[in-house]
Amino acid sequence: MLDIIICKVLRAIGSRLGRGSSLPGRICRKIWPKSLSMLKLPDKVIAVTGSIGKTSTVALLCSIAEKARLKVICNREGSNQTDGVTTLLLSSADPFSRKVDADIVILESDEMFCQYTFKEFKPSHMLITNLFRDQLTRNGHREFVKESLSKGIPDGTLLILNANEPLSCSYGNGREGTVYYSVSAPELREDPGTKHAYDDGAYCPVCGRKMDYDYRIAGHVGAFECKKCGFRSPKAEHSVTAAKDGKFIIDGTWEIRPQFFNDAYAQNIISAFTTAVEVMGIDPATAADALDGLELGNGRVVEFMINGHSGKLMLCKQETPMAYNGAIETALNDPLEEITIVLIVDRLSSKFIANDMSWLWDIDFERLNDSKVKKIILSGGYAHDAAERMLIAGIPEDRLVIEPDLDRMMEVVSERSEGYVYTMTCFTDQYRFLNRLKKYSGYVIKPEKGDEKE
Amino acid sequence: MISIVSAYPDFLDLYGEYSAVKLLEKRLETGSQQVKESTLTFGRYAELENADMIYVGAGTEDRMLSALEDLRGYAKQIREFLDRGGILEVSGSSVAIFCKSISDRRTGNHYEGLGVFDAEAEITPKRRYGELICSYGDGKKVIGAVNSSIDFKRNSGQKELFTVLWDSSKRFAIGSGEGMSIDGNVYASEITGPLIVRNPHLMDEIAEKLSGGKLPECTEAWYREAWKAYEHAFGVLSAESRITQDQKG
Repeated sequence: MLDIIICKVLRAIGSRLGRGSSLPGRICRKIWPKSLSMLKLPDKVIAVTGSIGKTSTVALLCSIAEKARLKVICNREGSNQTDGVTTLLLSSADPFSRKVDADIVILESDEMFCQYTFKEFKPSHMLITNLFRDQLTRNGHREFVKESLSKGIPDGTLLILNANEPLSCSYGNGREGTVYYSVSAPELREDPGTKHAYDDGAYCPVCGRKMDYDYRIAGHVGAFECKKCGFRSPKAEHSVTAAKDGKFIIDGTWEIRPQFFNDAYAQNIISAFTTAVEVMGIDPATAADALDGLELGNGRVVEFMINGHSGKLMLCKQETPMAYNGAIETALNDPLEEITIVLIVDRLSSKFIANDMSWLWDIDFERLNDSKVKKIILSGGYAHDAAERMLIAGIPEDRLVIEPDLDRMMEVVSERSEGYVYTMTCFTDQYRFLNRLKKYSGYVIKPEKGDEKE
Repeated sequence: MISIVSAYPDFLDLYGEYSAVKLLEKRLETGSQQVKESTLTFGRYAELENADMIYVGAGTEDRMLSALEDLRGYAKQIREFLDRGGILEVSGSSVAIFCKSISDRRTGNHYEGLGVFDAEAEITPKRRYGELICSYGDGKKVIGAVNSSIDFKRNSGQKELFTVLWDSSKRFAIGSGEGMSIDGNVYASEITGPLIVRNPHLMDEIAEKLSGGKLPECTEAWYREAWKAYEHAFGVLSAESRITQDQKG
């Protein structure tokens, strides 16, 4: 009982001080290591994990659950490691009965921490979005992440998997009851022969032989087949079958107007739809209605204005090429004829020494060789690394503006931008941009973001 | 014509490895050298007999072991290549391929390596990430990251490539050796980054060895930016190294 009361009090204090939500859980776990395992959780506990799309998918799932009038508890704001999950669940529990009072719990879970979090309780379902090259300084490589995550998938937990992503999809091999989702819309497929900086779909994750694709959505995501061992994209329960006029069509029936019209968001939408229908028992019409026109206010995209230029700050997961590729895709899909790209590469991490820039070479900057990209402004301590990468990508020198000094960056953005300004940076570096925006008569349109410590 | 063979570029492809050969080629071309790049990979034979350089990039541990099995078929040609002074650059986990043996603590399996280096490798279940400053040659400084789960043990007959000046992970002691070197023609290092992309002076050194003489100053923008990037990163890491050494005591 005391663990729950202490956690609630610490969380309330933390909220008032604007502090993170992991500390109460960490303290409680130190004092009461069995706290989590002694909670009474609802029958449906859905863990959402994978490299990219966790936060958005959890937010989509929560919105669907709320639309269906289910009482849902989720860590919408992240805090996805064991301590954060502990804080969420203990502070949501009744101190006397230890019951978490909800119809459903939806947990974003860090893929490297599932092995610790789910030692203490077992989620009924686990949605694994994908396994991409992601924060390799922390994660090493995808196969290492796959091995770590496999230790965190409890026996008996039912999986919901992306039928288009080979490595995470291979978790379903021989696992009964696995549900798959896919994106098959022809409009979202890559042109055959599209080149990328790397190809994680070249070899089969099961037998290691060369793999074939019927089509690709983005990089190694697509309809794959290994002709040697027979591992192939499984049949999906639900699929985005078309994408036109700004809408995703699910199963040829349900029309969704998405917040972001790109392949990555299509994967988020269909993963949430599939989980809602197949796991949460929500009827497809309600799930589609909840997703239609839904705008997530998770601050991943910040609209701003500077010196007459409108712009968007698109936050990309640290050192994660697919996240930056998604931002590039969004910028290039803009029907506007003139755009400026701003790329800020500065600290990367506030906790660790992180100067490895090898991930820049895995981003498809070659795609910025597009006539609508009028200027590319590079700023932050590692602007020269980014410049070297851009030049090797074939970007003409006269299109680059290199300003490593963050305090002079806004002047450059203000004076040299042409057209709409797409700014890309990671979570750690976002306030290096936002805090300086106001000083140059710029302002944030939405969502509201205050000054933060850099 | 300088012939560079990229070994398994579609397989041993972590940490931007492809860019090393790409930039080296550009550097050579700015020195008016003609370069032919060919690929050696599964089911694709490359003529090592005419190669001036072989590049083997970093891959996952399991992929490194698969590449080792395939490379066994080339063991004789690789020996001959080294005997005639060919330049071999190997990075990250792939250094293990050229050791005498590899033991895999994850599985308990033991593999015979190609035996180019008088050293043993051990794959462990634990990954470590560290950023390093090293010195080599006449005191030049090399920077980069080691992102590895492999421990290497050099025997007394094996010369190291670099001397470690600082390692953020403290895996390498200050003053200890890193990597493997043979007669100035073999550059095998756990450091990725990729190594010669982050260290343009090392790229110049290899390019000059390949071209057989001093290359003219490169005036291209990418090369200028590579140097500025190196200077910035070296400054950051130097500052970090002072901080952590002060903290240590």
